[in-house]
Amino acid sequence: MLADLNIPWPQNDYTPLTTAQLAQLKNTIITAETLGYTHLAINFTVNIHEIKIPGNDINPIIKQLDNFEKLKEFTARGLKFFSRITLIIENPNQGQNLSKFLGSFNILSIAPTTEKALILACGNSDVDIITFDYSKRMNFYLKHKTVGGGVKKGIKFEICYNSLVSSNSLEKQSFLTTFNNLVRVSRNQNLVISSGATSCLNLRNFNNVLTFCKNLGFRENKVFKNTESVLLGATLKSKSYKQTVMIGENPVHEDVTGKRNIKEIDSGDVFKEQLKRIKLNKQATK
Amino acid sequence: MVRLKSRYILFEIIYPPTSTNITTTSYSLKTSLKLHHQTSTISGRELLQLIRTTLNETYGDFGSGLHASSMNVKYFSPRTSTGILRTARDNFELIIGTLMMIRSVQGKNCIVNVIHVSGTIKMCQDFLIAKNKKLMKLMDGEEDDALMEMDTEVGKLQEDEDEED
Repeated sequence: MLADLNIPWPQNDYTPLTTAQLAQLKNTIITAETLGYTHLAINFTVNIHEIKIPGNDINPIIKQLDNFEKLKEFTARGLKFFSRITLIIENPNQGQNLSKFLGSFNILSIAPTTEKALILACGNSDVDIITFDYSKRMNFYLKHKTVGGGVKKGIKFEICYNSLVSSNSLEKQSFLTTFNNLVRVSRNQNLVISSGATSCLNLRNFNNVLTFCKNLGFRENKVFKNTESVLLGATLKSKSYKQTVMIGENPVHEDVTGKRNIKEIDSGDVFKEQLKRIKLNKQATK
Repeated sequence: MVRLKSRYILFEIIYPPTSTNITTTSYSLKTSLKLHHQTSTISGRELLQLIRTTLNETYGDFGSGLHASSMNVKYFSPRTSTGILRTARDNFELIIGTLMMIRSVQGKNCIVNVIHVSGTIKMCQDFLIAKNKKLMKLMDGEEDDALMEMDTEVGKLQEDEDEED
């Protein structure tokens, strides 16, 4: 599996998508599919200070796409979609009540614009991902103590390479600055790489991006596992009992065709080894 | 004597759909697969020139200097937009970074997708052949299904005719 946790929703508020915007979204998805991505999270970014969140139907992605029914041509051949919300938080007082988003979105992420908001986000265990605006220079300083607290809670920090491949050279520079700061401060832990591609031209092959990042001193260190754990948490949120108990297999690796290998099941090879050992023991006793 | 070591980078140029008209664009599996094989008008030499300029834009004089001598486009097929680029072994990551930064070829928006990196050109070739075989299988798979459907339809018609007789 290859996942992209950030395919931006073309609107930043609750107005319905125009057909052109839906086509743009579909263009991005088909490009991502060509580049080998199988799990895509559609990201709805909203500034909590400017836009009033309605009482019901908080999730425009599920509502306007009829629970991904409008992306039927993609889901039919095995692509998986998740919905994600990113809250831009400036004043930490307004970001206290996040529980109402938990039920309706798969992934909850926060984009803090001040240091106080970052401290709040790192202390909240409901948050899955903390992301930053890579297109602008950050107006506060990242500290290991704050970010380390988030890492301990299992919160992932996101790197969006959208600004890196943009034509604007200032954006590229600010991406590199923020990227380097984040890698240094988080000690290479709990990082995920995603696109945040505003158009289909800003998507890249994941391995190319990884090679580029490694060249800058980023260590691969569980980057695939981190992404997977975000998706696992996302599916557990809606389909499990209290996010702990769930019947079935690992929902992220669920196979479309229904055929599966014993090795693909979690701890399947351990099970196989045990079977082998039992057989050998039997032969020995004979 | 130690021979000169190099890296061969296998890449393809993808032209993503940019039309915002939802009715004319098809989003089937075939469209997705066909994105791998699109024709482009650029030649290998022009492409090398483009890579050189982008390298200079991205990594400056430092990067250009490191890759001035041994970089060469060994193979480029405009028909399928696939090519093999030869670079020095040291710091070949810079070239991958450069290919990432290319946003348009001859004014046409594109993505350059690095598929494989290897030490010999033979391995690149083998990898490409294996990949193309897989793609063709996928393409055929869909066609086979369509044929099967046609077969069943024809079969039904014949049965009906038999009944009439």
